[in-house]
Amino acid sequence: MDPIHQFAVEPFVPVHLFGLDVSFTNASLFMILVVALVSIVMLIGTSQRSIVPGRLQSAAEMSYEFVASTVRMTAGTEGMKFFPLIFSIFMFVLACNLLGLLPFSFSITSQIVITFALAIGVILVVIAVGVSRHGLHFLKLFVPSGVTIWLLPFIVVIEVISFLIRPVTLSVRLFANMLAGHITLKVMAGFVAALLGAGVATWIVAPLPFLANVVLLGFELFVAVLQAYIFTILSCVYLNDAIHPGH
Amino acid sequence: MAKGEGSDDRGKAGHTSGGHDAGEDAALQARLSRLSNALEQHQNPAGPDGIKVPELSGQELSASNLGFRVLVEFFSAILVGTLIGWQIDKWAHTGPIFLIIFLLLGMVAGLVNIYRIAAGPKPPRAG
Repeated sequence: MDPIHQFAVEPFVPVHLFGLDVSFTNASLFMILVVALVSIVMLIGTSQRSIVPGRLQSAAEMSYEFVASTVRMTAGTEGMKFFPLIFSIFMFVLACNLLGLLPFSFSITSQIVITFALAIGVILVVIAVGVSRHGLHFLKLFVPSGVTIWLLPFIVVIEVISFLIRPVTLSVRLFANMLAGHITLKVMAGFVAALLGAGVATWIVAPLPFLANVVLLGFELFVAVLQAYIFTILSCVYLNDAIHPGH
Repeated sequence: MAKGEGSDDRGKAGHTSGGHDAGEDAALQARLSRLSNALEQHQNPAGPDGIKVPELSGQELSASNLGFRVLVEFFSAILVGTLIGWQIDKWAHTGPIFLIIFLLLGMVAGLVNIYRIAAGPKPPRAG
């Protein structure tokens, strides 16, 4: 009945290396499951190559086309160099979100450590690409054009802070959406049990939270896909900043 | 040119063995090239290096989602600003001065980001 209990990370195989806790937990297990699932879908989907695609091939091709068009739209043709990274991020986040919706599973993206690690990874790639391509000109990102000189230091500080905010917003948005959705589902499911247990009179209203849960589950499916898409498209937008700084 | 003829011959041979005539084959080829042209135009509407502006403004997403974005933007701006100010204060032993300054700067940065969400994406400049 505790709606928070589902997010507990439990070590299966305790491992301690150099004073660090690197135990094999349920989060690790589900991450491995997600990577295996995505790999299997993509490998089987791309192995047939028939002209009229089957279900798995359609899924593989549609996800490829979707991510490719997103990358082209936001980061241009040059951004396609980073397609493998963006596609991996999209498939990983999408599979994590969707797999987390299954009963008794563990939703990895509701752990802020995971989403923050992904976001920091994206931002580090953005900085590395920006610096290696443009050198010090990458710092133009923090200097908007057409600002009077006496306002410039203030604006630069604001721009630097809003650049530092990016990994936080990227990770918190995904994490908070998944966390809130899962808690809502659990609380609604708890209502069903509580109303059934409260006596004969409340049996009549007991199906109502159950119906609400059915609707909410559909909404959570939508949120799962949408948040994966937003994470991907914002990564592309940030990469576009690295490729074309000085906006 | 020679390459093109070779592939054309092969195509014809394959189709005649399958029981089709050459006219149908040519029509099919024309249709294929037309389709791939259309596909290319669809994928690159603004030329080979054109960049379309991402549609991430409020119209595309639902209202609750937009509200959530604004909330997260403001929340994390203040959080990051406070953390920066706190760390500077801790490092320089300057009491709460930088904490207050960066808290306010974080709020400003958050509001700037919210303004950017509301104003919609700017058309990117080449450069």
